[in-house]
Amino acid sequence: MAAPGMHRIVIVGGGTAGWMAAAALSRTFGEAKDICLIESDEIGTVGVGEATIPAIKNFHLLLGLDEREFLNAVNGTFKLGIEFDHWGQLGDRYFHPFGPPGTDSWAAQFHHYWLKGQSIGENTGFNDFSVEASLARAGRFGMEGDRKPNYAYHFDAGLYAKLLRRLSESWRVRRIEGKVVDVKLTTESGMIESVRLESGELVAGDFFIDCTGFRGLLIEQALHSGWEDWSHWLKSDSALAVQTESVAPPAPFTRATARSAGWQWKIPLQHRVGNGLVYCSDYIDDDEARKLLLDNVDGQTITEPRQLRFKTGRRLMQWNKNCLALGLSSGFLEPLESTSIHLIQNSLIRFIKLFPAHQIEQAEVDQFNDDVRLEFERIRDFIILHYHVNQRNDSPYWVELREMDLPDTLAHKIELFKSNGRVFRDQYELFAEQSWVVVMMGQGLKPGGFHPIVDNLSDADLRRFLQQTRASVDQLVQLQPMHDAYLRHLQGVEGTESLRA
Amino acid sequence: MARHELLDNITHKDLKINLRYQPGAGFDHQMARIFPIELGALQAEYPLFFARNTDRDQYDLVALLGFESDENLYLGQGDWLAKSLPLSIERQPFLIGFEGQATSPGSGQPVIHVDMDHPSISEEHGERVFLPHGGESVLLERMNEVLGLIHAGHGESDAFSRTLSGLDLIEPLNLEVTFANGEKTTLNGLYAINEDNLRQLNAESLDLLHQRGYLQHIYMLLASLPQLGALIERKNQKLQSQSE
Repeated sequence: MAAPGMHRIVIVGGGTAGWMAAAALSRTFGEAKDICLIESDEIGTVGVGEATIPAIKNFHLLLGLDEREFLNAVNGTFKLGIEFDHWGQLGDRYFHPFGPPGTDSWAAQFHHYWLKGQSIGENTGFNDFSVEASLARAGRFGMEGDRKPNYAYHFDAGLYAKLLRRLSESWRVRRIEGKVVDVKLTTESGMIESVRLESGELVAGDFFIDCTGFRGLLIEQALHSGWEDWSHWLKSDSALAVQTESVAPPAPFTRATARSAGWQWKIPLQHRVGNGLVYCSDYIDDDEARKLLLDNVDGQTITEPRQLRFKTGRRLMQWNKNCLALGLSSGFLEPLESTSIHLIQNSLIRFIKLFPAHQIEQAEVDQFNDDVRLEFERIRDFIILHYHVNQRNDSPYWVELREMDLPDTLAHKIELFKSNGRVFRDQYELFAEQSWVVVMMGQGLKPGGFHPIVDNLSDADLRRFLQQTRASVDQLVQLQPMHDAYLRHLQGVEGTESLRA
Repeated sequence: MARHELLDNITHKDLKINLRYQPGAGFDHQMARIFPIELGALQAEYPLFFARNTDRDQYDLVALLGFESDENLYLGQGDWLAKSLPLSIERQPFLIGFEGQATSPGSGQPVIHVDMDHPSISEEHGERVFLPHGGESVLLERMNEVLGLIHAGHGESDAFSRTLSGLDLIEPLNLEVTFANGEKTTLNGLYAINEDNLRQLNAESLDLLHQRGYLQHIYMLLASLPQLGALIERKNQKLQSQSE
């Protein structure tokens, strides 16, 4: 090889995944590595209005990206969680907030106390004990008081890629315009040696990052890393995305509405709204899906509905030889819990932690692939949970989902919760106990009992505890301004004095 | 901005309500919000639809009263030109407020407020709200009842429209209306029952709608549609009397 060690990093494909990789690697390694990114203006990217989870703030910390600068650059809004409509039963609504509700004891989480409360006639809803859910319902957002809300963002993925490109280029990432037409492997080790562009130019490297989307130009077409199909559990295979004008101030949460054969997302940005329908083409044809989506959006459409096809599953070896797959080339899970960007981020961070010193060590590669597999599978289980635990009979789709066989890991979690409301988080598991609790209860799964430690409190003390918790949530919510006022304040349009709504 | 005050028998001891159902008296609205409990009574006299409430991301039930934003064709010269009155019209100038620092609609105790800027507010003419010694008048007793029905109706209305929307039974309507004098107008922002999807519902969905009492509501909505023709006729008569 021309250069000793792992000096030259070649990222193939721009878009969210490509530019996240470029930014994180160039920020981490500085000039110690020679990083280039090959992308073609001709190839569109898949990202639309994008919703995220709170961990993205760590990524921005790594990049040294200021929140205000970021939000203004990407038309961003705040997100306190996801509201789910019609999932358990038609007409149902529940909120999956980013923060834990109430106060836990070391042995038992808050929901055990709440469950006991229900049994003695305390009928306040579970979400009324959540700061994030209560803020979302009131349309408020802010940083007043001691208990700050847990939050993430909604943003325009196209603008996000542009912002990361600007940062990356300032950190000396070279952008090469062009389309990769061929991948050249070394004969002895089967590693990638170079890629050839349409122009004939050869780009050689020591390590390659495949951000070419579903086709997996390097990881699959050249290295045959394998694919595990999950479409028997997650049946959706199509999506339609459309942007609309805002007709109301942006809500500080994502909405996921279950439909007859899929679900619809609504992601509020500052001046427009990202909408889309994820569906299964076996149950509803494209024209019907299009009508269904357009019948259920507010405001004028700004774009034509854009059609996407996908397969749900995972690349068996996300890291293979000297190639790492990131984004859609590494696998796909529908964005029901807004995990797409998180999966990119996490793979990147894991990869940087295991970055090869001089050459590829198979033990490190195996470690990486094992870790990402576990994480991917747990998120998969969490998403299947939303579909499986339902009481809907209005379409064969929902009935089949309820009756399907589950992954063992998920079946075990559901059984554990059904008996006495227990949830334990596995290592590497992204979603915390409280997320499982709100979704399981929200979908209509009620535990048969609760942790006996709750009985240590007298009924009167329990009532007082619940009322105090509720009152402190209400108080905190009252302190915060409306979400759009807070955004305008960040944009510097209004001073803090006028913030109180 | 309307001036809403918490109603009490000291501040408002001499308050009188002088309702005049005529243009310029506080009722110049094209739509009135209605609630499921009223559907049966209203369907014979009003065309009934859904309208999108974008603040709450819900569909509300409405009675269409006119073809322009401030047109109410049910207003006469003091009288309301129909036998039944939507609760949201009847309640005026009173409304529900919530006691305490409520963080969200529905929390806190519901209490009666009065809109002191409403044209029906008077100290000379009209019906007394409180009796001379501070007791509740018949009017106020009725308002208590009306506001109670509306309060309960909000939840019932949301549950009803959410279920229908989940079954894809609500579709946007673009209606072009032509009046007798040749004038045309388009009605935007109204939603109606999707009858194709209604016909295709499976037995389980029909059962669910029936169990919740929604099937009846749906047929009341459909039965109200001929009233759109009657409303156009009201408009034609208005146009004719204007041109004479």
